Amino acid sequence: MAKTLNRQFVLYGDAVDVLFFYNEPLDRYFGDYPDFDTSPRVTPCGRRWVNATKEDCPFADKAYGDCGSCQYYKCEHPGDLIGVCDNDKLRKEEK
Amino acid sequence: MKFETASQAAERMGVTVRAVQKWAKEGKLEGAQKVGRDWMIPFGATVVDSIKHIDAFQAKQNSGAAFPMFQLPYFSGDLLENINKIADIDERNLHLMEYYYFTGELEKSNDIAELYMDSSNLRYRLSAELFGVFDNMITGHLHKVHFAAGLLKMEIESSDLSDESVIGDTALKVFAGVVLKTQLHTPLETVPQIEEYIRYLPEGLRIISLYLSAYKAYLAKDYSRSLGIAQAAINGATMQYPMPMVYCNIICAIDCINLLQLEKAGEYIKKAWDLAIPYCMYMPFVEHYSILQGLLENNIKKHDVENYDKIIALTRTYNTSWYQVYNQKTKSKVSNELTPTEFTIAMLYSRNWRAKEIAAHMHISERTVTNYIQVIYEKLNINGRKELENYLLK
Repeated sequence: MAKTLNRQFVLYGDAVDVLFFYNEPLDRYFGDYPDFDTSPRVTPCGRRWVNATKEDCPFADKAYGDCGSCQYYKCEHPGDLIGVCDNDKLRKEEK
Repeated sequence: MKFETASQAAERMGVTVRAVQKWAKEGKLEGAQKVGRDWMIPFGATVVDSIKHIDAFQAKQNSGAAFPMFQLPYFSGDLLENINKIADIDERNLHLMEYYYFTGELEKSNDIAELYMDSSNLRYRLSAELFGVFDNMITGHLHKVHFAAGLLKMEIESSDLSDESVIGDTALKVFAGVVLKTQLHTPLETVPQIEEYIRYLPEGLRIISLYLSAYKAYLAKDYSRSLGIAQAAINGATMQYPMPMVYCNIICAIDCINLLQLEKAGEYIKKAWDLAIPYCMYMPFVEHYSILQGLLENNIKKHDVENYDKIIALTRTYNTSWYQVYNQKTKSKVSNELTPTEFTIAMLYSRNWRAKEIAAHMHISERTVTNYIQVIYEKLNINGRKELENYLLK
């Protein structure tokens, strides 16, 4: 059975669980991240969870176009691949 | 004895019909017979010694040829066998040194290079120092890289480049300096622009110098200009010059992919492959692998897995050493940790290709591309395209 590890990403009072699978040859864990495009999720205060790899948001930095490089991308720890969009214009109504 | 026509022989050798007719007339194609107005060439015949052409050139120049593989006007028959037929031992060794480098037999190449690094002949010395740098970089002997690069740097910086009485030698030094500066990003303040010296170089080196100019334009992200220079070099050559042509076709392919002319990019890379791989010249592809952006995977891999695998194996060592020597910021993280496919995707993604464009280019699903990007990010501990840019070759 594959060695796994659960990590909770907590932002704006919301927690997302991600399962990490151990890769033996590389001796490291890789996350099985949710796809927030197909399964959208918002925090209790209406902020959207986004994948760092998400592209083509109209508010993204034109030079890069991805959420990970955007000023509105907030994540729990530097380098996290999921985070929350801090742009008020994309905020949803309170849950 | 079986014969073929001049045009069939030309096609086989990758040269013009006129060149075949000329060689036949000059007796360079053994057994060639004139029938009426046409020449009948013995099937499979090669020019008695393709190296002869370069020997004649050297005689004219009154000294040995620097970087002789770049000056060979064509490849034919068994290249190694032809090189081994060269009578002059130093000339033979210089050809062998470069042949072994391009075929990826780097230890052998370096063994020869070390013999000539203190030669009294400038041309031998320049060739040995430059190839010594590349050989050792790929084999991971970094102290030797610095040693050979230091010798070459000293050679260039201690010369009076304005002395017009030795303009041919000066042009060669500038050529070597520009290779070192452009390809390995070595700081050489005193090296002038290669464009000023191109006319003093023999044709093969002129073509490779134009490739260097094209590469410089590519680094400045002026892809159209780069493509124009390389195309001019290809079209202006009077003979085939396979090694310079391989480099020119590769840079054309890279420019085309950056200009999103994918079909043309494929055509150029195939041309380069057809010129180089029958003679096992792997290194031009290894040197450019990181910026080929999936061209080999897309156009070559499925047709020629064996040679593709050889290039990948050499690329891994090359990238590791390259980053160790020249990219202190990223150290060896990128090359050590990313697989060739991940590296390719990382290159494309950092250049603002969208996931769906990469997916279409590499014939994989958009979801797979996204998964690759996530793995790349996790390996490098980053989370955006902006940071990825800092990890890759500029």
